[in-house]
Amino acid sequence: MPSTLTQSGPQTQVPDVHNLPLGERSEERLSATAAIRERVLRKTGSGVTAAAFQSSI
Amino acid sequence: MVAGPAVLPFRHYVLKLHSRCDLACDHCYVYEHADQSWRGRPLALSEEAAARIADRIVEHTVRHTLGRITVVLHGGEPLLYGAERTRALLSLFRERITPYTKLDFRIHTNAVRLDRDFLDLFAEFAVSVGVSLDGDRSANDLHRRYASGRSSHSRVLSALSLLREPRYRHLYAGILCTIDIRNDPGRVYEALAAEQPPRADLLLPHATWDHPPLRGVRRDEHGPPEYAAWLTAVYDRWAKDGRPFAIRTFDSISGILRGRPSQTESLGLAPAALVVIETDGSLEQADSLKTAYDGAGATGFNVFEHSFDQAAAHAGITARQGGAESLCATCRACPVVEICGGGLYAHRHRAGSGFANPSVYCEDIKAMIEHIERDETRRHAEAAIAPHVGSLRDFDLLASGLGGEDEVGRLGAPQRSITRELVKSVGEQVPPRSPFAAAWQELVRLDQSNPAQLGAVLADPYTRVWAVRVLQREHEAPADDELTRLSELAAATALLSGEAVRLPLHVVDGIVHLPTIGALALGGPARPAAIETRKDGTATITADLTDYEICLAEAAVRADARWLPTRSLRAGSWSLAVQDTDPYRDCHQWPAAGRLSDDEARHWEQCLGEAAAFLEESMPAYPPGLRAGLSTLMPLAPPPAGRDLSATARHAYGAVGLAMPGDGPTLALLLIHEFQHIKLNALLDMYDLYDTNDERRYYAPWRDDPRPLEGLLQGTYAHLAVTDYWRVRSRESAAAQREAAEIQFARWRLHTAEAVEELLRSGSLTALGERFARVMGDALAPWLDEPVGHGAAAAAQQAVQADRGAWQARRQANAG
Repeated sequence: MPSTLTQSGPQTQVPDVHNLPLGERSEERLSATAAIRERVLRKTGSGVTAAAFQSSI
Repeated sequence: MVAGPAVLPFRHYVLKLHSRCDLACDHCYVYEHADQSWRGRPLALSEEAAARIADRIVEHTVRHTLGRITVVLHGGEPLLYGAERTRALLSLFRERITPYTKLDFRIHTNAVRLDRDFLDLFAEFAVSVGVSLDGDRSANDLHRRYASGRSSHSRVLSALSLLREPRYRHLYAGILCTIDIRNDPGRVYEALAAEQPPRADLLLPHATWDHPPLRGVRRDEHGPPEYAAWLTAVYDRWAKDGRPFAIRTFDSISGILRGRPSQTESLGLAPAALVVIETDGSLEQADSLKTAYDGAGATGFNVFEHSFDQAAAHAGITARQGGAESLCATCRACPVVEICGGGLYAHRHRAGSGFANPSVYCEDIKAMIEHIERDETRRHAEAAIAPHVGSLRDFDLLASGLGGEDEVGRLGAPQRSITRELVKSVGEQVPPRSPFAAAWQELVRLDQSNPAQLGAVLADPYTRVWAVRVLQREHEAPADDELTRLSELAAATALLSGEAVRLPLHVVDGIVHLPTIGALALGGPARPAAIETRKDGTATITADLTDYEICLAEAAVRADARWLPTRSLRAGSWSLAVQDTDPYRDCHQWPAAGRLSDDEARHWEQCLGEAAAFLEESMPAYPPGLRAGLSTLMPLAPPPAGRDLSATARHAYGAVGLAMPGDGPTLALLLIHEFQHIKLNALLDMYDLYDTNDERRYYAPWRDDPRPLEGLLQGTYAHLAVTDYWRVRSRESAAAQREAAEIQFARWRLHTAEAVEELLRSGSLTALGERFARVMGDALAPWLDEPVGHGAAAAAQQAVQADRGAWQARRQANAG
C-alpha cells in the first residue's frame, strides 16, 4: 500500500477552501475545485484490490 | 466471511473472438513473439464455447457475489468475428449474465473494419470501443501495416472520426499507442491529441531480458534512459497543455502517489484479477505473457472442463496477486516499488530465473516515476491549496461510535468546502447567455459582502444533493429548472442580509424554494418566475403575472396556503429544521412525506422532546455530537403499520429522513443509528477507508441481501450505536421489557462483532479503514463480557445462528 496513504490519517482528501471567495479563479483554486468534484462524483478507492487489463482501454 | 472461497475472483474476462488479424503488425505479441499457440487455435469462438463461457461467468459471479464484471472482446482482431456473430454473443451474454451482475462490455480493435454497422451494434449493447493507433502516419506505418505492406493509418483515422460523431461519442473509450523510440514523441502526442480521445495509453513494446527492447536510437549519456526520455517528453508536453485527455500511465503514477488505484496492470501492486479465454475455450493468464516464452500464458484449464475458480487458483495467476512480497529482492528494496509494482509481469522474464527479476524497463520506469513525482511535488508546492487537517484523536473517538460537540463540529468545515466547490462548479457551468448567469454573479457578490449569511444558506443539506445531481450529468448543460437553485440561494442570502437583488426563477414541482427560509407553493407546471428582494427584508415573487409578498421577519410565523416557512422543532437545547418542501429532499432510501400539518409538526416536536430527554439522561455521551451535527429532519412517508423507517442520504450531511416513530425512545434509537451514518459519510468524504474497487458482496447480519463493503462498514458503525442503545435499555427497562432488551443487546453485540471481523478479513480496508474497524472492535469488546440472563443469551445465540443459516441457505440457492 502506498506510504502516502498509510501516513494520511490526519491529512484529509478535501482541500480547505471553506473560507475562500466563491468567485476566485486562480489556478490553485481551480485545481482544488476539480479535486473536490472528482472526489465527490467519482470516488475512487485505495487500489488495495484493483486490477486492469493493459491491452485494452 | 467473504461469500466465495479464498481465491481472488476474476472481474475482467478477455474474450478472444477471433484468433487471426487483418493487419500484420510486426510488433504484435500474439503472432510475432515467443508464443505461437495461435497457430493451433480455431479461427473463431464457437457458439458452444460462448454459451459455456457465459455459464462459467455466471457460476463464478454468483459464487463470489460480484456486483460488476467486464468482458473485453479481443483478438486477433475481434471485428473479424463479424457483426452477426458478435450480436449473437452480446445477446447471449446479456441474457445469461445480467440477471446476476452488472456487465460492462468493451472491445479493443485495430479499427480498420470499424463502420456504422458495428458502431450501431455497439451502441445497442453499450460496448465501449478502444482503438490501437501508434501516432501519425509515419509512426503508425512503422509497424501497423497490412501483410501487403499497405498503411492502415487512413482507415483507422476514418473509424476514429466516426467514433467522435455525437451518436457514437459515448462509446469512444480511447486509444492505445505502442511506443517506438524512433518516432518523435511530440509528433506522436499531437497525433493522439488530434483524435480527441477521452483517454489514451502509451505502452512499452513487449520485451524481456532475453529479447530486450530496441535501444541506442536516442542515446544521451547524461540524460535519462531512452524510454524514460521518450515518455517524459510526452508527459511534459501533456502537462504543459493542461492534461487535455487522460493518459493512463501518467494518471496511474500520479494517482498511486496520492494513494489512489492504478489504472493498469503494468503499474502498482494491485493483484491481477483477469483471465483470458482463447477461441478454443482454454483459459490463459494475461496474454502479454506470450512475449515471454512459448506457452507462458497457459494454465491447462478450459471452460468445458474447469471452473474459473480452478483457474483463479492456478499458480501462475496467484503469483501475480502477492503484492510486493511476490517480487524479487531488488524490487522489494526499491523506493518506487509501490508505484511501479515491478512493471508488467511479462517484461520481467529471463530464462533461468523466470519472472523473479526487475522489469527489463526497470531503469526507464524508475526514471519516469521520479520525473513525474518531481513534477507533482513542484506543482503541489506551487499550486495546491492545503487540505483540511483532521486528527487521529478525533478519528478514534468518532470510530468508537461517539464524538462530542468539538469532534463532530470539526467534521463541518470539510463539508462546507465540499458544498462550496460543488456550487462553484455548477455556477461556472452556467452558459453566459443563460438568465441564471446573473444569479451566479450575484451569489459571488453576496459571498464577498455577506459571507456569514451565504454560509448559513449553503449549510442546507440538500444544496449538495442538487449540485451533485447537476454535475453528475457531465456532458449536459444544466437546465433552467436546475439553475433556478442558484437564484434561490442568492435570494435567500439577500433576504437574510437585507440586500436588494432581482433574479429570474423557475418554478420546479410547483415550488419556489428559498433554502433555510421557506417555500412558495404555486403548483402547476414548470415555468419562469422572478424574485425581487429589498433592503427592508421583504421580497416579491412574481409568477403568472401575480405578485406574492414575503416578509422575512414574518416568514417563519405567517404560514398560509402558499407560503410554507421552514419550521424548527425545539426541545430544550435541541433544534432541528424540518425539511418538507425542498424538491431535492426526496433522495433518501424511502419516499419523502408531503408538507407536515401543524398537528403533525407538534407531534414531532413532542416526540423529539421525549427522545432528547431519554438520550440526555440515559445515553449522555451522544447528545453533544447530535446537537453539533444533526441539523435537519426530513419526514418520510408513513410506512406499513408496525415498521419504523429512517434513512440518511450520502450527500445530505446533517439530515435524517424519518417516518414518525411510535414513541420517544424509539426516535432516540433511530436518531443515534442514522447519526452514525452522517458521521461516517463525513469521514468517507475526508479519508479513504476502503477500496471502492472491491465489488464483492459480504454477509451483513442485519440484511437479507449481501452487501457491498461500504454497506457493511456503514451498517457495522450504525449497529455499534444500536448495540449501545439496547445495552442501556436492558439495564433500565421495567422487568417485563428487560428480557426483550437483553435479547436485543446480546444479539446485536454478537452481530456487530461478527461484522467487524468480516470487515477486517476483507483485505480491502486501507490502513486507516483498518484502524477504524479495530477501534469499533475495541469499543464493542467490553460489552461482549457484560452479563445477560441465560434466557436472553440463548435466545440471542439462536437468533444469530438463524440469521447466519438463512443467509447461507439463500447463498446456496443462488449458487445452485
